[in-house]
Amino acid sequence: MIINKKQFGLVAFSLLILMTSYAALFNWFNGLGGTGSHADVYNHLFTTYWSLGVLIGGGVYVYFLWLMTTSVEDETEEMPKLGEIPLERGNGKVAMAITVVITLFLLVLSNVTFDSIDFFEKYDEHTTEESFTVKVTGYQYYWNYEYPNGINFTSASGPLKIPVDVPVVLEVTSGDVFHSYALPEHRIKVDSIPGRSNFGWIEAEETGIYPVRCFELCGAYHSDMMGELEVVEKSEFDTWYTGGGN
Amino acid sequence: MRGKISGLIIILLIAVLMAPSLMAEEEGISGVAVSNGCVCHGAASDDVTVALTGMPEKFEADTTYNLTVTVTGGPAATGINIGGFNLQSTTGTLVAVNNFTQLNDGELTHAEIGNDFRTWDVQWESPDSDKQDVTFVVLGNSVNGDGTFSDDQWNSAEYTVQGANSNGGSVIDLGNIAWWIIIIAVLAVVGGVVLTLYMMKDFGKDELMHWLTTTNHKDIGLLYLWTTILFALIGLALSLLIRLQLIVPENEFMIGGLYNEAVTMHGAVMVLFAVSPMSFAFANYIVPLQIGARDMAFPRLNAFSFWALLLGGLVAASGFFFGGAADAGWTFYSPLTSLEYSPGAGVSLAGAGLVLLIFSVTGSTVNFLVTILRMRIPSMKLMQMPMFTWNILFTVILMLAIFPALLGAVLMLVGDRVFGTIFFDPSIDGTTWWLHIFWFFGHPEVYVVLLPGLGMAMEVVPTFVKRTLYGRRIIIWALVVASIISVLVWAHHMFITGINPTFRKIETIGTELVSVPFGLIYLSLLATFYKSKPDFSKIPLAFVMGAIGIFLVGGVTGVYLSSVAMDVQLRGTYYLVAHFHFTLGSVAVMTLGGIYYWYPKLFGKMMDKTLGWWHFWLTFLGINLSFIPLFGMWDMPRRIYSYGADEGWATQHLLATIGSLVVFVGQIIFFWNFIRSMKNGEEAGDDPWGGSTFEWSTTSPPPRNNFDELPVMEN
Repeated sequence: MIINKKQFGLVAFSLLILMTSYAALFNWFNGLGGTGSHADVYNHLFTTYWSLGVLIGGGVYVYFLWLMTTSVEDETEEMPKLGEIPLERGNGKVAMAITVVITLFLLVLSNVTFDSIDFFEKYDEHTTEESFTVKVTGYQYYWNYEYPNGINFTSASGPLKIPVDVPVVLEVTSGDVFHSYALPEHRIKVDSIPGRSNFGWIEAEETGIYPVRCFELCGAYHSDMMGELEVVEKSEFDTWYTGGGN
Repeated sequence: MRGKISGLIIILLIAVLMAPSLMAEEEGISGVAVSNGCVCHGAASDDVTVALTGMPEKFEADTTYNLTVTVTGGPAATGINIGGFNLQSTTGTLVAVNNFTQLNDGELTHAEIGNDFRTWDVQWESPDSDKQDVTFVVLGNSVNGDGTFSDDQWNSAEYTVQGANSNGGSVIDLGNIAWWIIIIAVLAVVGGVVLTLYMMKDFGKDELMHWLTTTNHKDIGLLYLWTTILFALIGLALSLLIRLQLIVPENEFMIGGLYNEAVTMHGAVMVLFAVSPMSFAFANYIVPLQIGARDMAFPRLNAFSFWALLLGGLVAASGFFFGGAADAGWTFYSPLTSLEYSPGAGVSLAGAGLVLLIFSVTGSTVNFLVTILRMRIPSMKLMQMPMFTWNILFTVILMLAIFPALLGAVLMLVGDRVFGTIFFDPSIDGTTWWLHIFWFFGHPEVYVVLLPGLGMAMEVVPTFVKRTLYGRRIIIWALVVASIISVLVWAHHMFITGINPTFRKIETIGTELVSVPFGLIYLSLLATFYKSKPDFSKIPLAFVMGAIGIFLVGGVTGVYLSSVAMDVQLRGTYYLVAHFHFTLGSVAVMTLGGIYYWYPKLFGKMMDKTLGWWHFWLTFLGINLSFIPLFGMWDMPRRIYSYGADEGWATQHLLATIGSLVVFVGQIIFFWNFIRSMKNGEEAGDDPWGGSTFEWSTTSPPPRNNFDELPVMEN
């Protein structure tokens, strides 16, 4: 098999850029969307990371392509020889500069990350007097929901019902093994751990039915640990709620 | 001495194999066989027979069955108070059909007026799924009825009934195609090894004894290589099973516990027993050659490390043949690993295998530290060591720091399962305790896997672009920084488990900082290409270039995961799966490059080029095809065995499965090439690539004492 060196380099690294952009685009089409207050914050966060990731990945790629164009035909003194003490090449100042640049990028990323995580987790900053707490307990292989007024049912018997545009706090724990309670469409995930309570909150912006899934391997039928979230109008929710869940 | 070591290993193996049988005792070896659930009184005795009758051969879902509990034997009945029982089932619901029996916390027992009998009618309603088995535990008390407990006796019995559609627990079911694939893979590997040995020379008793008792570092390196290729093929076969299950929505090829076993063992075998030790095959073979040593510092310890690794891997994987391998994920999250939720022998066997692996690793660590630091030729200063040796040095230092944590974790886990300790009791937050201690090991373990691969890349690139490595000193210091950071950032694996928010922010920054040293290493490696004379017709360079490309995507997507906020969405999804397969996959590709690079030194022959190029392209394209589609599925939980057709994941999984088949075909070609070239390859000569390190200064393969005359570093 005869391969031209330059062609090989170009093909291999064009494949690289193809897969980088492909990976990113896959996320773009599939991921950005979602609904609810978390999704807006999350999508902003993702866009920031995605842009910087493409910038850095693309920059490295262009740098490498440029390095390829500098290749020479003859062998120089720098060629390593058997048994020779290895030459020290390199420039400490360049290394420092690269360190500073990467660190600056990371500072930008950390900043937007910390804003977002505070938004996701400081639920008491978002609750109103209409808010309430639903206690979610994971079991193999269902979720148990307990409302403040004592309505108590499992995900096998019905969807989690919440009113639209009202922040609802989720107190998540587990009755047996490690689960993870997730509302993928709303970009919400709270680990469900026995002996611990973890908190999250949700403010749905559209009515409808959304999936609920377990995101931690919890046993043989982990795949079947699915449920639904039903977001309804406030008035409809009140009727249901005051009616004791009927 | 040799006899003592073999004796020790045999005792160890027996102890390890015995361990799971102890687990059958629910209260550990000190307790009574089964908890005295009915407040049975008197003595446990085999004179009493307890029987549960009326069970079907296989139960259907949502059906009611009438059962009868009978107690016979024991003391003669002299009064009206003559018997009692307690019945538990692992699934479904027990029902009291008359007022002689009553339900107590889900368990059925006799009522006050029911203790005048020694037989009772009960009902059991089966669960809504018949894809599982049910186990009944029944205790029966034979009472003499005279009002004193003096000669009362009791006993217990256990019955298991299969569900109509159960896969029979996880016992080998030859009707399941999965087992045939595993069996064929194992037979193929064993056949391949035998074939190779046969082709190498007339393989007789003397040769067998030679390989069993060798302490030469080159022989042990070859043994490591064969063993890890075997483990890698097992891991690859398991991954194919996983991919075949996910090829179409709602597939029923391999579901439930069996799927979890495949996922768990794929991860454990690949990370712990295949990729990481495969680089140690080369560390064993190449490091003494690179530093001008005649052998490792402790050759017998080296042999012990190898045999402990082999036994460890076999013990860990043997669960498949003892009622089911470990099924709680390779991270063994508690409490899913407890006896209550994983009653089979699999987790204990995996624990035993890990303990043997840790023995092996600890021995290797000591051995390599002493060898590298004390046994270099005098003219080689520390900073002048070849980069592969440097990377192995960092690897063993990291191993020394983290494997004790794993040993502690595994011993506590096995203690919980076998001796009834309560280290990981969820009510005292044992779940997060496991996470902390496991990930303190688990995160640096990723670097333990990565660094030798990087070391291989740093040998291959300068050789084939004909320039010395750019920034050796910068790379070495970056490795120091990366190693230190790596042991401090374990908590990014538990971002949303509810740990302290400030600690979590520190961990976010720490994790992001990992990209600084690795960015420098990566850019230095690239900068070596500046004004160079690359020879792209060489296969080792092709593999390393492919790995560099894959690693860039793996690295950039890893930065996303370092963010605590991004992690909320990405944790536990296929995005994560794609990310770590891109990083670990690039390590595997670098290691393949290393195999092509050092093969001439190991066997004195060149590998076939045409087959090599086929192998490269199939591997490179297959890996990309397998894992790029998975990046998109950040709303799909990992480790689920079934998904709906309407969830939009079918195309991606189909592509991924095709990709993994392509990779598999590539590796079969590689294996064939590997064996065939040992006999039919071109003669290699001492230094076929123009390498500059000392392993190329001796013959191929090297003589038993490595060098006829020790080499000297020159200016």
